Amino acid sequence: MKKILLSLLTVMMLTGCMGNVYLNDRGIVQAVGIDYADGEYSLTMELFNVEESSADQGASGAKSKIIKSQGKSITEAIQKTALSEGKIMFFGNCKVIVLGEETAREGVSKALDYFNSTHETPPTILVLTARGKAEDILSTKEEEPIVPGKEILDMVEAAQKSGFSPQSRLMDIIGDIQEPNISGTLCLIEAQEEKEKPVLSLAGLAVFREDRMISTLPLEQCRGLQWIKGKIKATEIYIKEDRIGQITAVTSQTSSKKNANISGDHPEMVIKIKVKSTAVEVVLNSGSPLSKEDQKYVTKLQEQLIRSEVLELIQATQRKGLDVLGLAQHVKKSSPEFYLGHQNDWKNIVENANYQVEVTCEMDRMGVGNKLL
Amino acid sequence: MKTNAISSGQLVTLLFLSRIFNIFTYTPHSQTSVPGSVVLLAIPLAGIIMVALFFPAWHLIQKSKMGILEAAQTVHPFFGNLCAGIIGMVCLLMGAYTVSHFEFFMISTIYPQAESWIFVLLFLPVVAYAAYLGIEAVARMSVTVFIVVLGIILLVLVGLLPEINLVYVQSPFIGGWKMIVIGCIRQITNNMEILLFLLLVPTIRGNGKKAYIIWIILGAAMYEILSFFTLTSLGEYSATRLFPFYTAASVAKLSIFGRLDLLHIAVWVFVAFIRTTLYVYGAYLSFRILFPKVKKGWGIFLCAFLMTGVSMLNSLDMRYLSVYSRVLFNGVPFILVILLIPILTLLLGRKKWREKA
Repeated sequence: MKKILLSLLTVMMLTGCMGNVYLNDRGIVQAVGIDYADGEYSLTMELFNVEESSADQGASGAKSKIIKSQGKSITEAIQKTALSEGKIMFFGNCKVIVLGEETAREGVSKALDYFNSTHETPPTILVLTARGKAEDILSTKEEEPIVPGKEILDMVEAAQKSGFSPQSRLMDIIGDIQEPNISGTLCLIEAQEEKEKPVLSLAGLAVFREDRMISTLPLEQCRGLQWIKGKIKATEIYIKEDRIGQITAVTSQTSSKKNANISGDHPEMVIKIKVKSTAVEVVLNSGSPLSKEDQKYVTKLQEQLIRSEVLELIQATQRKGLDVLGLAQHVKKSSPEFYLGHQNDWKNIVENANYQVEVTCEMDRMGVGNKLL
Repeated sequence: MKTNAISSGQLVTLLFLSRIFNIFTYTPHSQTSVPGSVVLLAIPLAGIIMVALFFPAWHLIQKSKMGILEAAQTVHPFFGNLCAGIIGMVCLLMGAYTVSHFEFFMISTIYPQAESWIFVLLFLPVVAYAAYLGIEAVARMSVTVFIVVLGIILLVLVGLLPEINLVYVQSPFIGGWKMIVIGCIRQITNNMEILLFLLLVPTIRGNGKKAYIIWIILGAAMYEILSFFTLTSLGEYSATRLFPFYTAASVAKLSIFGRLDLLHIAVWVFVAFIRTTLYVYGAYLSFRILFPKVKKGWGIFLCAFLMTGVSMLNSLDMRYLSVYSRVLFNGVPFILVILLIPILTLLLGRKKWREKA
């Protein structure tokens, strides 16, 4: 009898300590855009519209609702939204945070502090920088049934796999801000007019010094950075050579190793990149399969291509004293005394650093075609 | 007191779970934290020192053939009561700290709108009941929880593998030896579970010294692994978070599980439960020396009641908890109960025990 009573008492305690909130009373935020102007934040939030979404439509037919509010702080703007909508905003399902260009230039710490502190937002939430206003990015798909936040997420994830976007998460940018000499990067997104309709596209990289955006890099240079970080899952390498023809390979394995040491008064970073790829599209000028020497030649061309992308990225960032490669971290690891002695003048150190890039490519697979045999 | 109630393996699992409570919800203080790379060196060094620090207490148990409380009682009743009172107080304060920390974590990460006293008032009666059931019951539970904890930690670590970046492992000597010494001291003074070992060792079957060394090694290994993974997966980001390992668990993703922080929370509740139960039981063992006529049920109820009071005070403001933890882990309680009391007892009592023998 005692055990039954105790079990009943225990079950009564399992109802949770938080008051329940019905789904209709929650504003499920899918994406949030943050713009900053004249000392005020403008929030554009995409809410999952529970009323307009039906079981028949499913996720692909779900409609979202765009709402806007202003406030002196992010919290104030969110509170105002809760008051106007009559819903409690829930960020646990938020897929993306888009920072307007002005917000990024003013400093992202202030904008992101709310999201870093709240328990709802995961540290892996995607954070992007908009060219222009974040409001324009989130409003592009307002009239369509699909959920823009999900579309942006899918677009960026696909770009990350192919090397055209860096890892652009809340934890990445906040971690980079904590390192005084590292230049953090976020994916840059823009809305362009195409046949009188706004279309979202990736625009490259936003580069930060401390927490302020100071520069952007074009989309082509993103891949250079991702080669160095060894974060590419599957990207195409297109080789065209007059004698041989055209070969397009897709990477199956990418890795990189970075080491920094001090040579004279300057740090020297050695970057070793290894790439394995599968030849997927082989259009040869001659009818016969590629010889072993020609295959080696093609992989040499791949190495040259990758090396040139990497060097282009290094030159573009080094000119401006931007440490996007993490030279500070590597020097701190290998030569802490040098780093401690030069940490206040790191921009100058980066501008004068030497970089050695070694690329090794191997085309070890050919799908089900036999043109390389 | 029942002797030979639990096996040495069960004691190891109990103390291991109690020990890892701290790493699960470790909160770095921005002004007083030791860098992650320093912690990686401090952990094994602290482990070696803790083995050495144990010898006076172990020697006492060997010479007296009794537990620390009983041995102190044989020196002189007043001395025994004083030692029991101090040890009991430390157990109470540690238990209260565990409950306060548990409540603090819950309202920070899961229930930000909830009242903190709810967690204290719900948690402690259950803990008191578990302590009342006796050390055997908790020890049996701890074996299951130990296996589950290891499984979940393994899942989290596998989920974190893609995030590891060894560049975050810097030289621990950048800040000089001072930081390493501070890190070692923090590791040692946070390990009040040595007191629990001393209180529970008379109840075990098997080799107590071996159990202690295995526990220290297991605990240090787990701390090292969790610290390594937290440091290399979060890097500098961990400095902005209140609970770095919890953050790492929410970053870890395995295809079917999604976020693993839910598992972390589930496991951590069990760990907090076992730890608090041990300290309630430890406090009861001590106060039983002072009040031998009080029945077990009332004794445990009073210990839990006092713990509730202290926890409720801490829960009024998180700054109280911060000050409270700084006082509790400043080294003085540790030196008092782990070194001073055993050494004094040994020095004062060895003649008596020699004569008795």
